[in-house]
Amino acid sequence: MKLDIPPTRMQLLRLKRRGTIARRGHKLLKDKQDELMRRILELVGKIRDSRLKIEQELKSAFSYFYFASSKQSPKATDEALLATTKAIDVDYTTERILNLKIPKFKQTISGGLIGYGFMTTSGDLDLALLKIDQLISRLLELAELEKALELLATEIEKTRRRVNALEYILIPSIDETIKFIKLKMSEMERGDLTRLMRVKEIVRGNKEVS
Amino acid sequence: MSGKAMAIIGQRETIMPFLATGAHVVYIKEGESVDIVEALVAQGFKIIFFTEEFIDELDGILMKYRNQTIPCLIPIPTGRGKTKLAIERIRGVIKKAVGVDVFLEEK
Repeated sequence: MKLDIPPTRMQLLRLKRRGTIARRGHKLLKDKQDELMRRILELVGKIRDSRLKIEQELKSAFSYFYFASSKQSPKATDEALLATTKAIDVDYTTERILNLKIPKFKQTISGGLIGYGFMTTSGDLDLALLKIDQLISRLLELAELEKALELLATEIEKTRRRVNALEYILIPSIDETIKFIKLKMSEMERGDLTRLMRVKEIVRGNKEVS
Repeated sequence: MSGKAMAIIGQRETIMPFLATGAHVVYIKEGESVDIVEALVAQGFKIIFFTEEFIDELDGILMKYRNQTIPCLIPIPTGRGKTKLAIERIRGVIKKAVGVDVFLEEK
C-alpha cells in the first residue's frame, strides 16, 4: 500500500531514512523474538516436569490426609490443623529478562509444623502434613515459572505483531512509496524536458517567421 | 508475620491440609471465587493458589493480571480425578504465543 506522501525530493530522502530505521528495528525485534522463543521452550520443559511431580505428590499427600481424617473425628482434625505455629512469609525480588520483570520468591518460615498432641490424631495426618509442607517450596517455584511463562508469552505475542507489522506492512509500503516517488520524479523530468524542447521549437519558429 | 504473602483458596475438603503450613487459607464455594480473589489481591497477597476446578470461573481475572508481575495466580491440582485443566491452560497460552503446540508430547 502506497503511503499518502507528496512526491518530492525532500520526502524521498526522509522515506529512505525511515526505511533504514524500520529495517534495523525489524532485525532487532526479530532477534528478540527468537530469544524469547528459546527461553519459553526452556521454561515449558521445566514447568511440565514440576507440575507432574507436584501433582503426584499432592495426590499422595491428600490420600494420607483423607485416611487420617476418616480415622479420627473431624473436630480433632480441625484442632490439629489450627494448632500449627508455623508462619510463612514470602519476599519477592524481580529479575529482568529482556526488560520483563520476572518475580523471584524467597520464603521465610518460622514456627513448627506440628503443634498438636499425638493422642487424638492418626499417624497418617503427620505424614500428610509433612508431605504438603515440603511441597510449599515446590509450589512457589512453580508460581515463579508459570508467571515467567505467562509474561514471556504475552511479550512474544506483542513482539510477533510488531515484527509482522514491520515486515509485511511498513517496510513494503515504504519501498513502494520510494519507487513511486522515483518514477514520478523521472516522469516530471521528462515532462520538463519535452516542454522545454517544444518551447524552444516554438521560439525558433517565431524567429524564422519574423 | 504470616499473612500477606501467600493465599490458598479452594473447596474446604481439598485445601484443609494447607492450613498447617502457615499459608492464608480461604474456603470458597462455586461462584464466589472472583470476589474472593479480587479481595485478596486488594489486601496485597502476592501469590494466590487456587484449586483447578475454579479455573473457568477465574478466567477473566487471570487475563486481567496476566501482564503484571504481581499477583501470581496459580492453579494447583486437586489430586482428585483427572482434571488437567491447568495444564490445558498453559498449553493454550503457549499455543497462542508460539503458534505451535509444544506441549504435545505430554499427552
